[in-house]
Amino acid sequence: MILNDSIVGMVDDLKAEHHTGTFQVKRGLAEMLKGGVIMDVVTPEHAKIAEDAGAVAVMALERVPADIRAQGGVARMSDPALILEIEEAVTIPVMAKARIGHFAEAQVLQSIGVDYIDESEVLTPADRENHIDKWQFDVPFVCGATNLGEALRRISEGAALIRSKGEAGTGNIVEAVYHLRSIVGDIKKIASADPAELYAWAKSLEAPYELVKMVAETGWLPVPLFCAGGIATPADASLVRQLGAESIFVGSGIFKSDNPPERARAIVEACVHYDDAELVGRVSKGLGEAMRGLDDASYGSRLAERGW
Amino acid sequence: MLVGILALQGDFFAHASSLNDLSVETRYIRSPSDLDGIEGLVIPGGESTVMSLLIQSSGLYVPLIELLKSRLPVLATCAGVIMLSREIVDGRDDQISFGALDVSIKRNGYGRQLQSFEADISFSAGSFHAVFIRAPRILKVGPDVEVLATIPSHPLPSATRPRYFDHSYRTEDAVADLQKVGGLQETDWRGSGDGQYSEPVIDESMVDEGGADRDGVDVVMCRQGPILACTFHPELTPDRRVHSIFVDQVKRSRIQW
Repeated sequence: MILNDSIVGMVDDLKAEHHTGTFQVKRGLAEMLKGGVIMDVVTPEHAKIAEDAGAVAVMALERVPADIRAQGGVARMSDPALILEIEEAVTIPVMAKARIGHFAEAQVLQSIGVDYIDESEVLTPADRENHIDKWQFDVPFVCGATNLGEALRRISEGAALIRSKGEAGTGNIVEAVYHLRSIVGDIKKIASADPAELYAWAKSLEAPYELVKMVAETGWLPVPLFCAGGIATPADASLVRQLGAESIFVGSGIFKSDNPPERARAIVEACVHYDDAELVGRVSKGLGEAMRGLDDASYGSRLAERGW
Repeated sequence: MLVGILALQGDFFAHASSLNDLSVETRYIRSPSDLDGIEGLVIPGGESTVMSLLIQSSGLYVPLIELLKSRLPVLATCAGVIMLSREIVDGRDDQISFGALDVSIKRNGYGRQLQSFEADISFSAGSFHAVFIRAPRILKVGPDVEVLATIPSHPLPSATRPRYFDHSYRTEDAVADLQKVGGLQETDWRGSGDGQYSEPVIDESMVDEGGADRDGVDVVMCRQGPILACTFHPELTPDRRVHSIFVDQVKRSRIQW
């Protein structure tokens, strides 16, 4: 295509000097999201409510996890038109979900300019063995993990951000706590392990030795660790932040509650001032009913078991 | 030396590590009482709209304005620069800033995350590898602002999306587009084989929008009095020279006291 030669020339020069889609740039955006709340939204109106309440990013979806759980059927990538409308509606980053292993959905999401892709167990997996090779993309990926081994495997595939999985759509924090304690607990053990023990750690975690060594040296994951799956109240946000999550994803918890704008705002404040119980108490007052949620016994199948 | 880091939202941890590398003591700032005794302040990267909201709800807006008036040394990166700017182009209506840095700035001025980039920039201390994440773009700087580093300005791709797979696109649109680009010649519709379609249609009205008031360069690092501002993230790379400049500034302001 001809366009204006000088413009094409400048764009080419730019490619020579500027590097886009690098791991540093991908991980960098995750750093910027720290201390914030990423909210699931299903319409541009929801997206605006989320942005007004102080969401640091939105996850554009057709159905929140609670509805996917209730309605069943195959859950797929959302309609690109909906995602584009949400991109137009807000100025904060927009994330969207692709099915586990469905690299073509991820290619589509990248082509419409989403800022982060969540390769998510909330959608129906497309591949029984392989996750997406995330190094092939310029757009950054976030992936779920239930334990440290799973987190490191996802990082070795190119994920620039890890979220503990929890159990999406339940409004029940128990699984999130379990996963977070497992990941953070193992990180602490590895950080104090003898160097000779790291090989056995790599074996038992089924994760690359180099990444285990990085965990040992830095005392943390090579990428940020956020928490998802079951957060429904400001106190939930405070709990997982105190357990080591650097930011939180809230799915059904906001728009399945009585008063989404107020609850969203309260969760944002509680996420920032997580260690100030008095403040968490103040913002928790009079929010109306939280999402109804599911107790342990009524989950049916666990979404967190998807992904390997 | 004690430096406060605004820790409401964003990459405050990276700034703390950077300053700790230089043996500087740091404190996270989340409420007005945290400000007592700090000798410098870092406003980190993050989402400026969220920071704006949280600065107000945390009761930090007025105390921070008073500190800025007292000429406290400040290092601001990315969203932090937006928080200090006199004018925010395309900000949210309810977005506040401190107006302490005489620049006009555009949020996400280089595009979305896919346009985030790394590039080498040069400043007085030599070449610096800079990381730009959904970076703001400084469109204008006031007379009292000292420019420390620039990058070559480049045209923004069109804000309107290229019209792939557009059912409403008709032959007459194609003819109009062809006339716009000067006729049909050797056209590789599949682009360069990198999986992209043809080059995006560039909206001429967007080309060279702002930013180019300094002979085709964008200001990426500048100083006004005690404020040091970078639209990139020196805290994300191991090079500590930008933080060193800031620490020197804090030391100098100490002597003045």
